[in-house]
Amino acid sequence: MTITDEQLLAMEGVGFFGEISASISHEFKNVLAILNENTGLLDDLARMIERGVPVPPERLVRLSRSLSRNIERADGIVKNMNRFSHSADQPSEAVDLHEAVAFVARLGARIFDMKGARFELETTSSPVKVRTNRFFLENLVWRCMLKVMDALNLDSAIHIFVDASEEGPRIRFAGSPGGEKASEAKLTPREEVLLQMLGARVELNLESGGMSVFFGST
Amino acid sequence: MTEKVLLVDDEEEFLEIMAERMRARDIDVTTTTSAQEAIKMIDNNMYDAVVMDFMMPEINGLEALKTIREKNPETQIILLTGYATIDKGVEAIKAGAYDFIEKPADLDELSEKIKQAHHKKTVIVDKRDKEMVLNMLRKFGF
Repeated sequence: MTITDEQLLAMEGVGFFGEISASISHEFKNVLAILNENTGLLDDLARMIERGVPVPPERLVRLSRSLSRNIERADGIVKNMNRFSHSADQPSEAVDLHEAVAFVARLGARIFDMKGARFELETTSSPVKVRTNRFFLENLVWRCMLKVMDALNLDSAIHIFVDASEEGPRIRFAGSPGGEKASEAKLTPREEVLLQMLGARVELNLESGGMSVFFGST
Repeated sequence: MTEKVLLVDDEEEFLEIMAERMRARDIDVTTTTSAQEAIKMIDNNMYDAVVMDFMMPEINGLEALKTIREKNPETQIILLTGYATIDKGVEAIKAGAYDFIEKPADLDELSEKIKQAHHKKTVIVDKRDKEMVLNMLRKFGF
């Protein structure tokens, strides 16, 4: 059986959606675990009060703050999930590259933290927009971030720059060379199809600490 | 008898509250947010059970589990998993975990598992000590 480019792209898209959904659900479970402990503690304290054991009011205040903080955290996770799910609504739209990178960085924050990677997205003087498919653009940014995370030295931050270069809108990754998989870093067939679909191209210089993605149209 | 437990999770708030609730149930609990640190703590302390998150930064729960088992086979390990399916839990048991429990965990259920883990550790240590004494007696011709 030969796999067509369309099938490869579909596999890549579903794979990306799965990775992000799994990460979000794990993050959500962690918040639920904290909320669960908080309500359990509230129950323990209520039993103490019933038995006539004094409970310091500060303890209840701390508990209430923790509940509020984690409800807010859960709300943030769900908002991101909702926004991500709507990424596939339009086949093509004007997308602010800086905003898209920032969003993918937020979506993947848990995974980057787990690997000890620190991304710093540099500010841009003016918005850099591309007309493209938002979902697959996020997919490409995600793949790039994973690639540089594997190939660069994680002792220092990986900087991300978004600019309108002479060769078109660009996302540039720069960090310290020397990651575990620097010499093995190359594009997979799925990534090649993804680039083709977005009309983008990649310059891999991971052994010297960099990688750039150029988009054809503004 | 009080169970001595090492609780490991990278969510500090979770650790703090769960430890407070465990202490209220007379469990002697120590906490750390790092699996690497937990491995070091095992060298200098004897715990009845290690309750550890499956997904940790630096080193994953399964790797940490194997290292702890090598260093201290008597200590029983209970993994906390955020996975909705039991596959990872089964994988952990195959790798030597005493048990696993899905997050969010029910503390009564976890406390029961800790008691059982403590009992298992006591049986293993007793058996090992008896064998050691018997070997010594045999060595001296008894």
